[in-house]
Amino acid sequence: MSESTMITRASRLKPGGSGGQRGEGRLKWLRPVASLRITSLGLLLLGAGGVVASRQSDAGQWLIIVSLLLLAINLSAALLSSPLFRVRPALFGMHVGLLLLALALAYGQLSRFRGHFEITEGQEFDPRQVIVDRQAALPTALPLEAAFAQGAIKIDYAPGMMRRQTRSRVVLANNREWTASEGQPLIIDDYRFYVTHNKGFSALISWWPVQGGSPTHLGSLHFPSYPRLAPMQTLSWMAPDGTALTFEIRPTNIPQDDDWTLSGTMAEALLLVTLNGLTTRLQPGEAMRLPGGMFRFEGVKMWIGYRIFYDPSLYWCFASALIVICCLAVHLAGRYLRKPKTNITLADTGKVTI
Amino acid sequence: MNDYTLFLYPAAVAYHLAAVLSIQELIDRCNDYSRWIGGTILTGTLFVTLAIAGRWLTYGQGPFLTMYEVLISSLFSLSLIYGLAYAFVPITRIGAPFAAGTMLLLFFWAAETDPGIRLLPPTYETPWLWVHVIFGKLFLGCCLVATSLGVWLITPLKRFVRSVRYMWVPQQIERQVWIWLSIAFLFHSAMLIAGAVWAQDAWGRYWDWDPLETWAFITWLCMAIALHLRSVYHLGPRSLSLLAMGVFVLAFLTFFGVPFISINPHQGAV
Repeated sequence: MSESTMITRASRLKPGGSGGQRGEGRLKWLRPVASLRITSLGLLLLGAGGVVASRQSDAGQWLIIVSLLLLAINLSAALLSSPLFRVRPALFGMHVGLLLLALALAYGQLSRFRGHFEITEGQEFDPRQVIVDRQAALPTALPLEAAFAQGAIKIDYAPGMMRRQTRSRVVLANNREWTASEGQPLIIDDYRFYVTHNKGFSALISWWPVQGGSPTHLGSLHFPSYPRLAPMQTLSWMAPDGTALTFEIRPTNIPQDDDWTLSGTMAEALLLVTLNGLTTRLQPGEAMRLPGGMFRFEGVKMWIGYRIFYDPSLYWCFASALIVICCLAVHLAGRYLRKPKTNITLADTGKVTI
Repeated sequence: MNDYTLFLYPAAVAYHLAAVLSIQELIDRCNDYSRWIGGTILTGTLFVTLAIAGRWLTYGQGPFLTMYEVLISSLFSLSLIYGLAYAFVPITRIGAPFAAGTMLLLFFWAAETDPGIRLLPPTYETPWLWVHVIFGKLFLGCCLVATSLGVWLITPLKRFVRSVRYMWVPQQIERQVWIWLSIAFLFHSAMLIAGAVWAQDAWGRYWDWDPLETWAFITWLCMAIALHLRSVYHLGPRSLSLLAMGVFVLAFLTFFGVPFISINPHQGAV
């Protein structure tokens, strides 16, 4: 149905200068802003923004924001001034849902936080270890330190190095246990922690300075990602006294024709330490003396990478999108499933049934 | 050749028969072939179903990942949706030559594609994948019905029609084009939402502007623009049908063209 027909129908619904019509008169100045031509232009701009954004360009983000702003203004004006929405409540609901969706997306853009970090089995979450990928424009606070402790990490593989399910057990601050896996993130205070395919072995090391005293726990040293970089399980480490060391571990061979599970037990609990070309084999609990102190090898564990995503608008976006879909369905059902009217009114003869 | 692929050949014969009969029906003044055409399309659907079921039982996973799987699952959904439309909405029958031709195209394409299997990534083991895919198939099916009707309005085919059963008024066809396109718009919106929920849980982002997402969004925008243009300008049936066809071509390229750019339907999302 054309816009002009709808306007005629709407004015027919409110005869005799009702309050609605007076309101319509007041909002007449909004009509040009509510033009469907502006809507089409906004949608075209939004499409152009999408194409530019798909090329990982910042200009695309700005184009999307500008077009969304234009569409939001255009839609708000239309919702207030267009008589079409007064005779089609489902269509009105759908467009209100779209406006809410645009607002939720804009709020999400301003408050979205992205980061990543690596954590070793047995280690507690430390917000200071998080590398920020995208800082939110609005202030956000990461969950407190020790919000969870990392438990056992297991990754199933099918023959041919095909990665299957990742199972990363964590213990939350309230002692509740959770297994994070693909499609099942850990959620703490609206922060969503996603397991990544980045994982490997780490060596736990303690350090004693030469003067004695209590050991300084240095934590874990992460070897390169495994099994993606299986032949390169070495790393260089500069001890606190300035001694340069090379560490190496030797994981057991990967079964080629069977299903297998990657876990901390796959690496032989043996650390090969190379100092000045001389290699020493350390078992867990064994120590090595250096000029400025001594370090002790505590064992081999697994580390895993997490991505953090925070966007408080997620549920609002989903709810708005559901409103859009439901109202659109009701609108279409009302428009196309309704039986055509069989009664028409003729000006001179009254009601005639055809 | 695997046993299950053998089921695709009788399906191709059925679609071929449907295409020939539907053209014959248009130019034949007396005989009514509609039961045969509907029967052959639904028989084709049955054989494609058997092929998909055979592959599913052989490998233990659904047709969601490779180009071959996308093609045969789309062949199934398009022929089922068009077959049902043909059976229950008589006006859609004039589009049978175009619809059957599209199904044959998909068959030949699938026959030329590597039917090899790849294991579904763990991120695909979610009910949201089903919701996303089902709405996507419904969207494309409705687009096919709309376009098969729209073709009628923009080509001189109607000159050759002799059967009185197909003498529809252009306004009736135009109305049907817009009904099917509006329903397609609803399903497309639902597909995007289900995909966003799935992507958020699986990869930690609900939208990433990968090629498929970008083109799916552009298709959605084109539908939205087309629906708005219809309200603003008094376009004739030919212009409106051209718009509907443009949407179908865009949707077809999004579904079957973008996988040429990427190995997976969604690039990098495994």
